[in-house]
Amino acid sequence: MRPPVRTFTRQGAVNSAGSVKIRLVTLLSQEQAPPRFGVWPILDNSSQMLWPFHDTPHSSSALRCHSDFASQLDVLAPSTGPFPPTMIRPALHVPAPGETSVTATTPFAKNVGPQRFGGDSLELAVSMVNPMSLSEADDSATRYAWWRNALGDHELASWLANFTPTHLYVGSEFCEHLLPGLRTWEKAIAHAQTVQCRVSLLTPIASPQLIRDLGKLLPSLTDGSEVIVNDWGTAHFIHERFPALHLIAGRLLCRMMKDPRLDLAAQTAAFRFDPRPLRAIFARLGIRRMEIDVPLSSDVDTFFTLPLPAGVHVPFACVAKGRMCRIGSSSIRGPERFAVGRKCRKECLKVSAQLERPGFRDTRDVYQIGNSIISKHSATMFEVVRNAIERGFISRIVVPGEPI
Amino acid sequence: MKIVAPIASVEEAEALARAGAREFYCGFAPDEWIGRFRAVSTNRRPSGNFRDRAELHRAVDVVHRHRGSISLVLNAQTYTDEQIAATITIAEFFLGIGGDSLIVSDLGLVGELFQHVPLSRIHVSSVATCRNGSAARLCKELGASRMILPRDVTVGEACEIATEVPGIEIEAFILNDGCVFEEGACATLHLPQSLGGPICLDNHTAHYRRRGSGTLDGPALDKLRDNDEEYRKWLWYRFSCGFTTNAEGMPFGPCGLCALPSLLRGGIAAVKIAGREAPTARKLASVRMVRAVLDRIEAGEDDEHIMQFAQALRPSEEHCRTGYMCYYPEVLGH
Repeated sequence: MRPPVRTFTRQGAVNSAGSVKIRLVTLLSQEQAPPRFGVWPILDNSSQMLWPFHDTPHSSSALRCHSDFASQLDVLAPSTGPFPPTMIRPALHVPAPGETSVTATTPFAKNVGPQRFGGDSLELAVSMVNPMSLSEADDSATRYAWWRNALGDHELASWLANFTPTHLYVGSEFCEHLLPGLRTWEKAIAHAQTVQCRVSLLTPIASPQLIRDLGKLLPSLTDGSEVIVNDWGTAHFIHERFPALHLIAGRLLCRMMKDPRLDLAAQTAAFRFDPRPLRAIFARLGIRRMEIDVPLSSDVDTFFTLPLPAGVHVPFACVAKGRMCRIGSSSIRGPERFAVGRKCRKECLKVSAQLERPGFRDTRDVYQIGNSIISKHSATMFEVVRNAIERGFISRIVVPGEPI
Repeated sequence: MKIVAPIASVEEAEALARAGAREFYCGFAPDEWIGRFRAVSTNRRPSGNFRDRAELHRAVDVVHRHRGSISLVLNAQTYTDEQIAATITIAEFFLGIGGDSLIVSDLGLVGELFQHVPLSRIHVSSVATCRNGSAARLCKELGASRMILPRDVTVGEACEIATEVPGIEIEAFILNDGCVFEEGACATLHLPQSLGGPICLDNHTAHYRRRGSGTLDGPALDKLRDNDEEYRKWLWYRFSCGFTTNAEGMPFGPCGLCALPSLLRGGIAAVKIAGREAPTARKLASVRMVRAVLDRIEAGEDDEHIMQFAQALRPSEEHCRTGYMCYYPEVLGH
C-alpha cells in the first residue's frame, strides 16, 4: 500500500539562478536510530525536475511527499552557485508527528508538484547503439515479447511490458567508437518519432578525438535534448559550448563498489554508496539528472540520498570498463594489438561472452561485452528498485534494448 | 621533466631522492581512519601507506632536505560525506607538516578541499579518468595545478592535451603496473588470490555467443580462442611480465621509456612511476632507469639512440618487440 501524501506549502522569493535543496528528516526513525537525511528535488507543475533551476523570483510553491519521509523540512542553501548561501533563510515550522500540513515563508520554487513517478508516470529509457530495432508496441503482449527477446528474462519482461518507452538513448556509455555519426543520429531522431520517444545521446569517457566528434554532432541536437555524459571533460565541454542541452551524469560518473564476486555482507560493511559529495560539481556543470547502477548493498533508503532526480539502470551494472577492448583487438595484428583507442570492427555488437569462474559458486550472471564487464542484478536488488520506484525515489529506469 | 616516485617509508624517501627523484607521492592511513572506514578506502591501497604521523613528518623533512616535493594521495574513487570530513582532517595535518600537494581523484572532493584547507597545489589523480582537453580545462578552473593522465592514453593525446591547455601541468605514466580496465571505471576490489584476485586476472572462462540469435560457427570461435590466447600473453606483460625483474632488480612490465623524448617535446611536465606497494629495490631501480634515459635526452641524443638505450637497459629487446610491455606502443613504429 502506498503511504499517504502530505502537502507542505512555502511562499516567498525564489532565487533567480542556482539551486535549492530540501532536506527531509525522518522523524519516524528518530526513536530507533539517528535521523536519515535525504535531498528532495524541486519540481515544477509538469513534474519536471528543476535542479539547479532558473525561475521567476517571488513565487509560491507546494511540495508533496510521503508522510513517512517528510515530518520536518529544512531548506538548504546551495553549497556552490552564483548567489551566496545567505539568500535562503528557512523559516521552519516543524510539524508534530501525525500533522498533515505545514506552512512556511521560505523562498521556494513556484508550482511545485508531487514527486510521483511510480506506475504509469515512470519514465522508461531504452538504450541502444542501433535504435532501428525498437518497434512501436501499443499492447503489453507485444512489449513483453520484445523485452523477452532483448533480455531473456520472463519476470523483468513482464514488468517492463507495463510501461511504454519514453526515451530512446542512442550511442554508448562505454566506447568511443560507438558514438553515432550525423546520419545515424538523424535516423535515430526519425525512428524515435515513429515510436513516440524522446531521443537522448549517450556518450562515453572521451578522448580528445571524441570531443572533436561531439563538436560536430552536438549542433544537430535540438535545444533541451538530453546528453548523458560519463566524462567530466565532456560535461564541461557541453556546458560551455552547448548550454541549451540538458546534461545527465551517467553511471560511470556516479561511482560505487560493484564487484559481483564480493560477499554482500562485506560490501554492506565496507562500501556505502553516498553520492552527496557530487552535488557541487553537478551544480557547477549544470547537470540536471543523474543515473546510477543499483548499488550491491542497497536498500530503498539508498535511493533517498540521491542529490538529483535519478535514473537507474536495470538489469545490468557496469562492473569494469576498459579502453582497451579484448574482442575489438581480434582483428588487429602487431605491437598495437590490445593498445587503447585503436579502430576495431565493432565485434562487440555481434558477439558477447558469459563469464564463469570455475571453482566458485557465484550467484550473479556476469558478461563481457566489448571493453566492459557487466553483471546482472540479483532478484533482491531488482525488488529494491521496484520498491524505490513505488515510493517515488526513482523517476526513470534505463534498460538495454539490444540483446546481451 | 620531473620524475614522480612512490614512497612508503622515510628510508625510501632518502634512497629515491639520492637516485634522482625530486617529486614523491605517498598514502597515509592513520589508525583512526582504519578503525572507522577500513584502510582500503583512504586511497585504494590496503598497504604501502604511512601509518604513523611522526614518520610521515620525517619523510616530508627528508624530501625537503633534498629540495624535492611530496604529495599525499587521496584517490579513492569516491568518498562519503563522513569520509570527506575525515579526509579534510588528514589533508590539514599533511599540509601542516609541510606537505606540498594533494592528489585527488574525486572532483567533488577538490572543491571541498579548497573550501576548507589552505591549499597551494592540488593534482587531479589518474583515477579521475580525465583524458581530454576539456577535462584539463575543468581541472584548471577547479584550481588544480596538475592533471595526471590515466594509463589509457596515447602519446599523441597526452601531448595534445598539454598543448591545448597551458597553465596546468600534465603528468603521464612511465613505468610499472598496468591495469586492464580504466582505473576510474573499475568498480571492483583486488580480492585476495584465494577469492579470485583482481578481476582482470581472475580465472574467468569466456563462453562466447552471438548476441540476439544464432550460434557462432567454428571459424569464428577459433578466431576468438586465438585472440584469447594472445590476450593472455598480453596480460602477462601487462602484469609486469609475471612480476619479474632482471638481476639488478630492474622491473619488466609496463613501460614508456621509449616515449620519453616525445613526451618531453610534447610538454609533459612530469612522469609517474607507479607502485606504492612495491619493494624499495623496484622503486629505486625504476627511478634510476627513468633518470638514465632523461639524462641522455637532455644530453641531446636522438630518439633512435634513446630507444636503443632504453631497450638495452634491462635488457628487454625481445619483450619490447611485442609491444605488449608498452604503455605507448605506437612509438615502436616511428
